[in-house]
Amino acid sequence: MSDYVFLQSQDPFTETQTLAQYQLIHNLATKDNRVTLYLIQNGVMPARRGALCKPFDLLCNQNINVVADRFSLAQRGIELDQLKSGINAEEIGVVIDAMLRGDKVIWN
Amino acid sequence: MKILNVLSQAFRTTVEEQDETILWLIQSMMSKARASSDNMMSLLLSGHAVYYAFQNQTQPALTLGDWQQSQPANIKRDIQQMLDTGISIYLVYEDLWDRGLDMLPVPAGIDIVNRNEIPTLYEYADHIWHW
Amino acid sequence: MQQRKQLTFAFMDPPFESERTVSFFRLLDAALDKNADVCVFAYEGAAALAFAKQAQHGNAVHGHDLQQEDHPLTKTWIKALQDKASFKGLRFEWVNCGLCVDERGVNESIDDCQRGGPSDFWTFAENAFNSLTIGTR
Repeated sequence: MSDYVFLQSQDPFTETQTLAQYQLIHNLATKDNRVTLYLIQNGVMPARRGALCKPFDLLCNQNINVVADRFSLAQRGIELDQLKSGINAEEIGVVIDAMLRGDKVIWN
Repeated sequence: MKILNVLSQAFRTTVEEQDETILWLIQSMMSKARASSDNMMSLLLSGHAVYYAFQNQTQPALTLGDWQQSQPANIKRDIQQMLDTGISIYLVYEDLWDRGLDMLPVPAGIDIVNRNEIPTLYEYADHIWHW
Repeated sequence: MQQRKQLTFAFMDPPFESERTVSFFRLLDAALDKNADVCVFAYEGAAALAFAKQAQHGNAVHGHDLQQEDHPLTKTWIKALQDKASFKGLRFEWVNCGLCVDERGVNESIDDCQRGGPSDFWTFAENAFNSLTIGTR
């Protein structure tokens, strides 16, 4: 069992590879790994309430820590109360915290 | 270190660099990697990069005006060299399927994994370098 | 005193073409905030991030002259991070892939950026507590 942080910059609306990435994240979580999905850049798009992406919503309803990069949200004018339930906003420093804990940190 | 390199895109650099630059990078690091038997280098080809397992000839040589490319990339050679130096290479089956490549014979030494088996590769590696 | 940890990063994007470049620099800045030593291997287009001859320009559409526009330059960002590391007593090493530099003609880097190759990245990674690669698209 390991701790994973995925920096998810790719979004499911423009990059179909994202769905395979979501599937891997789902599979890692179902094998009892601790997984954080850090949405960054356009990767925050499916986090907005009302955004239509069932594979993303599946991850949010799993035991995965889904967080959105504050800076990316601010760039796109997505307010914190406009995020889907259960998604928090964090500063990018949490990714460094993860690296310094020895988590496996992967950029998508 | 046990490194899993993940490559999911292809043909971005094969003309201008006359190489797939990530295959080149991995090969370039092997002299250092082989200094210790504790090190292990592996490569997961996913997405369009699964095509790299089935290259049978060098890349087409580009011609522009009177400029003619003389050293087009040879992906097949690079893949074989990597296998010969002990790099484990995996292909994602679903990416083969999506691209109609699933019925092609897989080169000797390359393993196929299903998407739901990828976590095992991730678990085994100390670091996952997604290029 | 807690021993400092080294984090190694590999990056591939050139300046001005991708949002990934901004995210990368934000990560480096955050790493220094967290008192980590930082080692960077700049591969492919990223070899131009430290190019000393980057120059600012004005913005006629917005009515800004050169000074008013104060255009960001990645060489300035690198210098800022070098200074931050120095102030905090942290290590900040930047190695450009030499062949990448040559083919792009960006041989003149700002001070304290080195020329190297893939073996440097391996060494950085081997000596680091953790590593992160950010590929390009």
